[in-house]
Amino acid sequence: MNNMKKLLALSALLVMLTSSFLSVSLLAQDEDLYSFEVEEFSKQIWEWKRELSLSGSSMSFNQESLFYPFKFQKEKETQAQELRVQMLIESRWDWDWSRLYLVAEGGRTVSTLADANERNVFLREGYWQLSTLEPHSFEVGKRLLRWGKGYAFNPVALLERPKNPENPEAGREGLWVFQGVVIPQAFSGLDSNSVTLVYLPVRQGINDDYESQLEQENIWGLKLSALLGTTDLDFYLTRWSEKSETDWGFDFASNLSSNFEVHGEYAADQVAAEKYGKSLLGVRYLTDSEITWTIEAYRDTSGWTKDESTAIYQTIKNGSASAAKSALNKLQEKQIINQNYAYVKASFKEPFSWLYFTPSLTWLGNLDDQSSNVITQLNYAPVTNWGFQVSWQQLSGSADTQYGENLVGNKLDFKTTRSF
Amino acid sequence: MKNQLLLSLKRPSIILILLTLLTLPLSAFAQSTAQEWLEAIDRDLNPPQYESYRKLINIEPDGSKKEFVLFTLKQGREKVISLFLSPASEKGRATLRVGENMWLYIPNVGRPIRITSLQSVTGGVFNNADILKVDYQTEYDAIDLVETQQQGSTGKNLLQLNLKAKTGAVAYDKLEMMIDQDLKSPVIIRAVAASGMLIKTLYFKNIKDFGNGIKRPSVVETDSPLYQDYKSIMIFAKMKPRDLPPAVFTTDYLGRIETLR
Repeated sequence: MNNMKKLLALSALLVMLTSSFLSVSLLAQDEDLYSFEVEEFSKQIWEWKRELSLSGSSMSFNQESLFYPFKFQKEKETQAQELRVQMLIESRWDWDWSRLYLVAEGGRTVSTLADANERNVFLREGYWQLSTLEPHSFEVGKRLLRWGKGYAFNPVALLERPKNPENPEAGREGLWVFQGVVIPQAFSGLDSNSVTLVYLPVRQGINDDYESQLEQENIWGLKLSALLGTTDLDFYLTRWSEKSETDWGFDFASNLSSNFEVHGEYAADQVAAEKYGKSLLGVRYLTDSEITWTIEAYRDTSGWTKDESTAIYQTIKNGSASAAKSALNKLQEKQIINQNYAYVKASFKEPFSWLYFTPSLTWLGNLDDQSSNVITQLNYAPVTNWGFQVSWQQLSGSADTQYGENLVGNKLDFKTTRSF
Repeated sequence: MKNQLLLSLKRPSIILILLTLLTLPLSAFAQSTAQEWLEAIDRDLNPPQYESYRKLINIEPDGSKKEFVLFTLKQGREKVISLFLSPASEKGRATLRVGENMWLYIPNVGRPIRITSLQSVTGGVFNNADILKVDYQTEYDAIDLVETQQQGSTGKNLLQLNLKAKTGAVAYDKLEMMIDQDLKSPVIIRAVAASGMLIKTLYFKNIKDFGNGIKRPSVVETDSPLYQDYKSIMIFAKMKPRDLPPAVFTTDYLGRIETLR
């Protein structure tokens, strides 16, 4: 009951925020069109940006999901509603000799499910950068490296937390690293190039949630980047000292024409004695009717085959309690379930001359088990610094498939964002 | 006497040589061919290396506006960087162009992603090729020069300089540039597709002396038959020469561009 009151209060706040943008739009001045008070944009030592968002979601649970009996052992919930208020702060201090960057996030979630209520505050990124070496740099702190060229998948992201292909642009938490970047002048026929060296320690209290099975590890990373004509090329190498494992990869991206981009990645990933290959090929294509197509095909040999995943699902459903628990743990630990995926997103810019309105349709398919995850999204940013988003996610698939067994069957989301 | 004679004989020659030397720089910069006009326009519109601030305004048919403020750096004929300073929702975004290559850096995404010239990072009538404008010579060949019957601000007839894209990767297939001969500046540029369809018209206004020998239109307006009743405006301010190392114009540096203001 208490939660419902909070939900109602937050809903009222959302309505107020949503309606207020209309009045803001009426304040648009038309005094001197060509005036430009440029002095107000002069650089400050300390600059910051805040983003306040209010989001709500309503989800229906898939009662046929194998996760359902584990999640709802007593009360058989069929749906849930959540409201979340979140503040994101980005801040930069720029002194003569160094800089400090901070990106922090805090939020409160109120849900009709008691165990989903939460408050959290955490540092996404926070690092210090020596600026006397310009254009080269040396950084230390919490940093998200963001290696790769792919949009939904990044096989070469060898030193970062995994990206969620359902929401590739969602904020992620960085890792504590030392990073040096050297940008030499034009070199051996390349238009530009750089060398990045990363050291990522794993100790108690430092990056221990990234590699929880390790007590101590020293991970070294090397990235070589170059622009060759109209093609970006990167080569990656990582070395895990304690485990004596070496991973490597490369990526590329190129504009084939003024409206067509192609990109790809490959990574050779070693886990214990096993070696896996992860690859991605993608394109981005803008049509004459302003539809941007983003299409990616992803293959990861560390994923299960259809028969292997079916066996896991069957064990969870029909196996002994201990076997089921063991299989469930394996499934939950798996970052990628099967081996072959496809991602297709069509984003339609300002259809019917409706300015600042961008609807999109995304299909994320598990090609091995033929299950799919479809997201329809409407983005509207009619007023400066305001953004509105409504999305509908529908997961489908037969029994013993990734999205067919997903606990949430469908989900309606809305989000209002105010930047200042 | 002999010396006086020699001097009197030499004097006209010396005067002639001096006059020739004095007029040489003028004649060297006088434009007569299409290619010379193209080079002159590039020289005046885009100094070899500079920094500037720009305000972009998108105006909708109902009069409502959306504004963006950009800090821009340019080097050579084909390297441009723009950093969004305002509004807050866009602050920190940066775009880099090196020839036909374009990247967009979004702080949340944290790495440069390739974009295409026909997309628009701001919405409105300006596309990425307009916002990250490189020298016209980089993308276009001068085809011909025609004197029109249309008069410029000082009464002289406008010239029409016709340009053709060097490759299919260029945003517009043809440009029809109307030039004011006295201002040595384009007044109107019509961007035309390979099909012959008019894509947009750019209007150059308000010639301003920015100092350091930089004198150019401080306002560029655009409209398009593809966006009926919409208009976009670009206003230039604080344009001044700035020499930077080539390493700044690389994707690795994009996340640090704001420190160069």
